[in-house]
Amino acid sequence: MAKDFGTINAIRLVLGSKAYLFAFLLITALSFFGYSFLISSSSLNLSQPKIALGLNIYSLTASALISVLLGLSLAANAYAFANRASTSSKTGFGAVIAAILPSSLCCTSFIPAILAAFGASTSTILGITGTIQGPFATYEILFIISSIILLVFSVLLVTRNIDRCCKVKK
Amino acid sequence: MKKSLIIGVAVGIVVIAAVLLFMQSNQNIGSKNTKNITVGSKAPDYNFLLDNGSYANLSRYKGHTTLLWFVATWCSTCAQGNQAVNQNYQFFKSHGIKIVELEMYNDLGYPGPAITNFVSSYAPNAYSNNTLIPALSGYNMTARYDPNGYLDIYYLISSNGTVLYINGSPASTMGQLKGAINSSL
Repeated sequence: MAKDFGTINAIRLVLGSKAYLFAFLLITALSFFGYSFLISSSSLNLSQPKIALGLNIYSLTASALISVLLGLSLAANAYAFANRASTSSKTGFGAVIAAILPSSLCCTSFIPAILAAFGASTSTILGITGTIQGPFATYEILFIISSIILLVFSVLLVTRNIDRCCKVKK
Repeated sequence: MKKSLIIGVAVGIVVIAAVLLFMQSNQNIGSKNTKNITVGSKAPDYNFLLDNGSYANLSRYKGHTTLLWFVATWCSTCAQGNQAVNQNYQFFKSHGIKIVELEMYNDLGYPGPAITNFVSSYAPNAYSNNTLIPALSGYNMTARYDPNGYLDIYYLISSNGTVLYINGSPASTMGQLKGAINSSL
């Protein structure tokens, strides 16, 4: 319970500053539109109906959650760094990678383009492009869930550190 | 602070570059040529396996404008393409278009659902109306029509076997495809 209050206090502290609030809103908005573009071709977006931005309810929810958590994580990490508290930048970085990896590496021409750029033959490309992209397609939803969990962990970690080092002055 | 900023900026540049590369690569499919086949050339004729166990080739569809569409059945973009085709199957049917959807050789090295299950699942109306015909592509046909290994590429072929239009991802390019079909008729 004390940890929850610490997290809430820290978030209040971070977003109470105009500069960090602006950073949070900007990162959230940019992430949302960028990630919505990536997630639109994912298996999460297969079911109908599409509600907004070509996304169904599941994709919209995932995109919104990841964007808000990412904005919060980055703003809080920047605050922590500025106030010399410990950051959770590695966890946040891992979360971002987990979020964008399946959408970037699956179901686009990115992998074949990379293979061709390194001089791979047609037979090699046709033989291994599925081996690389297939697992990302199959386990895409797990990657997205992992990303959300990592981002939550990142936010909890950094806000706890902020709460310890930078108490709200009453 | 400077080190973290530099690392952050570097990661951001890599991500942006990756997205731009992806967008650039997708645009290339619509640039009207692959390594071997260009718009205006004769579509190479290969045998492919239909879901009833018999073999067919392009000559079977002579007299029809045909869409040869190569997919990997584990690919979510391809599944969305099927949904888009299903939503627009009346258009294809009324324009006399036959869509032969071919699972690429060995599903490009990763197991996915059988092409018939894939098509009937994501494009039931198009499949039941015989607008969408599932088939299997052999290695030579896959290598010739998709030498770059794109997961989702299609060729619009005229009734006399000439390539009219090349692109990919019908979910994203349905408007352009319909335009190409209307122009060809």
